[in-house]
Amino acid sequence: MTFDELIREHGPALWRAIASYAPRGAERDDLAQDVMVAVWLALPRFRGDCSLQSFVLRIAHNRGLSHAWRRARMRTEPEPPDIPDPRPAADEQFVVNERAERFHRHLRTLPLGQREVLALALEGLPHAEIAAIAGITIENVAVRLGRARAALRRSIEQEEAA
Amino acid sequence: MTDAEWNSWQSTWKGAMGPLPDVHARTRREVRRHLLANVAFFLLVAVAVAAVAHVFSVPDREPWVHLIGWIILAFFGAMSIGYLWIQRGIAVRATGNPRAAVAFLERRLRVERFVAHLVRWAYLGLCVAFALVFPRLVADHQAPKLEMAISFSFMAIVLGVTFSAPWWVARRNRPYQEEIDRWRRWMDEQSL
Repeated sequence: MTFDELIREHGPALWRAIASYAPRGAERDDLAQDVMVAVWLALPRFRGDCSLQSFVLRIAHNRGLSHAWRRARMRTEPEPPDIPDPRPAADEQFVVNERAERFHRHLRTLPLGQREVLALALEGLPHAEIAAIAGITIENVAVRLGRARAALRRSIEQEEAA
Repeated sequence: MTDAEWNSWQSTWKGAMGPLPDVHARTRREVRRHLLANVAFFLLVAVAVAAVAHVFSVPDREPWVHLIGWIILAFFGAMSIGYLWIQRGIAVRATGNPRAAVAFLERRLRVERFVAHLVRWAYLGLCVAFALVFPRLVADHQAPKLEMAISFSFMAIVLGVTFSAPWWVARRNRPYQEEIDRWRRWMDEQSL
């Protein structure tokens, strides 16, 4: 499979993984560049011992974690507010994306270990594949997922109550 | 959590999409740079091996010349292994799990510490052997004292560098070790 075919097939999943680590704007653009280059360079090493989706998502999440580390090391203030989407509000995708952006913002408040597992579960990956990507046991995936769901629901409820 | 709530989250999640950057030009540049670095390095190794091969091909050489040839070959062999190992580590850092990347950095620091001690004692051993053998080798030369003064003074400088290697390697690696410790603490905080 060529890089362009891969991006056509898995680009949206990659984008969602990137959005769970960086808010909209320059930071997300930088991370997207970083992830895409890493995927391109790693593609020749794909041996088919897992699904291609797992392979690219593993790279995206690992780059995302490294990005979060760099961010944590460089500054301590909370993430900047999202830059508004320049597309017109009447655009249907705009509405969907705005809802998703709110969801991503809540997701980004979770600890990274929970965030990674929840993002992969939302992508529809089975627990075994999530465990392989995150380098943890299947039991640990279930525990983290339970905590992540509870924390995310709390965060959403707090915003709705405010 | 109900299935309906999960399905609603999943539909919100999967509905989102956005533009991804075109990285063709940047990636081709990076691939070319890697390729050039590899070619330059292995060209250097090939030149060194060719030079040593020339030494081996000349008959009736003294045995110590062959010994030096083998030492040079071993040195370039070790350099090549180290180069490939570091390249592998860079690949791990680019795409691997952060824990794997930290583990690689820790292994690298351990290896550097070990090599520093190895260099300290191996070079000291070589110096002792050299100090015993060299005066006999140059005894018949025109100016043995001058040759010894030049050789021993260079040897003393290199010995100073190699004998202090564990100290300066530890000093140089201290910030890296602190960075690794910080990274580990952060990963524990983030339940990674």
